[in-house]
Amino acid sequence: MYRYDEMDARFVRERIEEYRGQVARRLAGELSEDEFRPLRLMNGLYLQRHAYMLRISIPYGLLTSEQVRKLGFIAERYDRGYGHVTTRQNLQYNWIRLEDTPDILSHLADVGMHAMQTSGNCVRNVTADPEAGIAADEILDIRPWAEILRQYKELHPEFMFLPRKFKIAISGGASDRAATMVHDIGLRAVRNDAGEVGFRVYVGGGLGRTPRVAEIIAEHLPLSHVVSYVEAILRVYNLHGRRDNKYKARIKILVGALGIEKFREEVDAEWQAIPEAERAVDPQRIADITAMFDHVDFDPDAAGYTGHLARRAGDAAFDRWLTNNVRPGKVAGYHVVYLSLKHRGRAPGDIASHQLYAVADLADRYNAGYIVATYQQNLLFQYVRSQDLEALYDALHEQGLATPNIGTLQDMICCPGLDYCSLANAGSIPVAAAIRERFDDLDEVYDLGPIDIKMSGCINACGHHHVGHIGILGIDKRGVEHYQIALGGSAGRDDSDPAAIAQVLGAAVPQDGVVDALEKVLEVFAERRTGRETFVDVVRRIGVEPFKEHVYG
Amino acid sequence: MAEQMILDGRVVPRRWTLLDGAPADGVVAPGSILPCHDWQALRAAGADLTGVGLSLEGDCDIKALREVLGEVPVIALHIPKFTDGRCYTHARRIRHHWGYEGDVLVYGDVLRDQLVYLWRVGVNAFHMRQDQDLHASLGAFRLYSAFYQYGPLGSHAPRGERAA
Repeated sequence: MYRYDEMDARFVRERIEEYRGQVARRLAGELSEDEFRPLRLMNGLYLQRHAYMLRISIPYGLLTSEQVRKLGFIAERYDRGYGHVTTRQNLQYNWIRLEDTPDILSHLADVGMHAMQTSGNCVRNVTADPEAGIAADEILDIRPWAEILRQYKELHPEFMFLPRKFKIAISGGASDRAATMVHDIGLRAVRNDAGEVGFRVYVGGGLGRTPRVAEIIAEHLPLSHVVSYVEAILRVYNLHGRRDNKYKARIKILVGALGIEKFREEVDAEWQAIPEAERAVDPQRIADITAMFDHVDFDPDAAGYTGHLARRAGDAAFDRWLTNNVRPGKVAGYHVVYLSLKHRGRAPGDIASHQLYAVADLADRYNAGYIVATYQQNLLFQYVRSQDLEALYDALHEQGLATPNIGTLQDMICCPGLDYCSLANAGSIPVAAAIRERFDDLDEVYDLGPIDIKMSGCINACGHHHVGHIGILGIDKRGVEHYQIALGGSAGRDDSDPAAIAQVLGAAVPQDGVVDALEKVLEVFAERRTGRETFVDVVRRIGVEPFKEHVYG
Repeated sequence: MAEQMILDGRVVPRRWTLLDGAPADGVVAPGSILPCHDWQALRAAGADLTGVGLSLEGDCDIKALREVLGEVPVIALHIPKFTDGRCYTHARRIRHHWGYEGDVLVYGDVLRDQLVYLWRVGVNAFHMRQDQDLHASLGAFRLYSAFYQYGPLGSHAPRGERAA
């Protein structure tokens, strides 16, 4: 993992001092709330319904045990004992006092963490494939590139006042686990006919009010040009993105208005204007950063070990966990283990202090001290030996983190909704809870196969409802919370499962009607499905009409 | 007391006067700054523009100006709103890509919180918003000891040249 050196550490301290001064000026009345807002947002601080929310940056989702312990400490000391993992692989606290924020940031800085650019109209946390470095289908280990982009965007002087927020995702596997096609810029490692690895660059994807699947702007960009090419895109956007209407300010609107051809021409011209000496990343820097990520001494005995398999026969829960939450890594005998944060009775993505402490200890013991936060609002261990699977399972089970539901209907993505967020029109956590109650039987859930339910409490789409196999959107209908249901969306995995925006089924239903509507949708699925056909494949094959008829008929 | 500005990290009396348009007689005093289109019109008419600068808005297409950079002692960039970042790209282009060596001035909704970024993209002169304390604002230049991206010009040498 990238380790902060003296410069990185000092930089974070200096940023805190700048922010501390801004908070002091706000509290003294020297800055109006209007002026303070963009400044605090740049540092991850939102004003919500009950308190401030502070969003902590987790670059490309990668954490050390020391950092996770600190997150647990902050939850305990300054929040109500828990945090919330977000779809940008960050962690947010919902019960923060403004005057505590400089001290919280100071605690974070002790472990090389901060809240820079987790909000505001700047380049946000770069998200990445959580299995990077270990995925069995890996084309490129993108972590060094994600780190280079992390450094590049940190307080970039030219791009701190963009028309709107800007999100970059990067993925290195044959399968896209970072939703690159619904980002402002998506970077996917691809191999060309000559066998060279480059980035396929997507631009103009996004959700929110105007969902749009990204288009390809560069089919095979040399890896070392990625920073200068991102810069050229940002420059075109900074100059030409709309600033008169915040709902039309994202880059997707600009790309749509110009058309991808014209947009590409503009970007290429900007790229040509960058002095030649600055177009490629210095190979030595890449080599240095890459070296920091190659550090795990793999145990040669792990490959031959099969001892844990014996327990499958007599322990159904363990068997289910191995099937659903564990995937093979690219090193024989090593596994990727998902820690489910979708436990009954808890909001999706929430994790308590005591769990954060336990996860840190387990990571030290079984995962070389690392933890990854995922886009799906779960956590992941990526270096687990076969010999350790049983003990790890037992420990996770005790913490309520071994629910074997990864990739199933229970593995919902959900925003904080009306319970916390001042933007929301409707609750999402209570609906998630109701769905979870109804679909609690794992046998039933497994039988349904992979189903992504994604839910947002308003059209800002933090819960990515547009790209759910089943998307649920909370709206306000004459003062009453209602929910629009859409089918057939996908965040995109590969060419056989490209990103798609879900189609709305019909009129929104009241909160107590969501579970019934969902049941009816699944009845149609059960009836029309052939063999083990997946839900989204059935929707693609038969369209939304049959579902609509049954739900509203 | 004459109005003040920040120039190259010091508080000094303002040395430039921003005009809304060309004077009726077409005679522009040195030290004035004209809106870009007025400057261009007078230049086309053959007026003497020695010592006269030009000002730009965020939405100006500035590419045609590259040829005339050698003729102006100052280029002023208007920031109509704190959150408008377009002129940062203009400044970077003028300074870094084109190598402009005159003054790059910003005016408008300029608060101390923007200074560190503006300075790094090549702005060296600041007409701050009226309510800003100029001397306190100088602290912005001392906030950071190193950055991830390119270093700005001249005396502000890159102390932490890190990024690509």
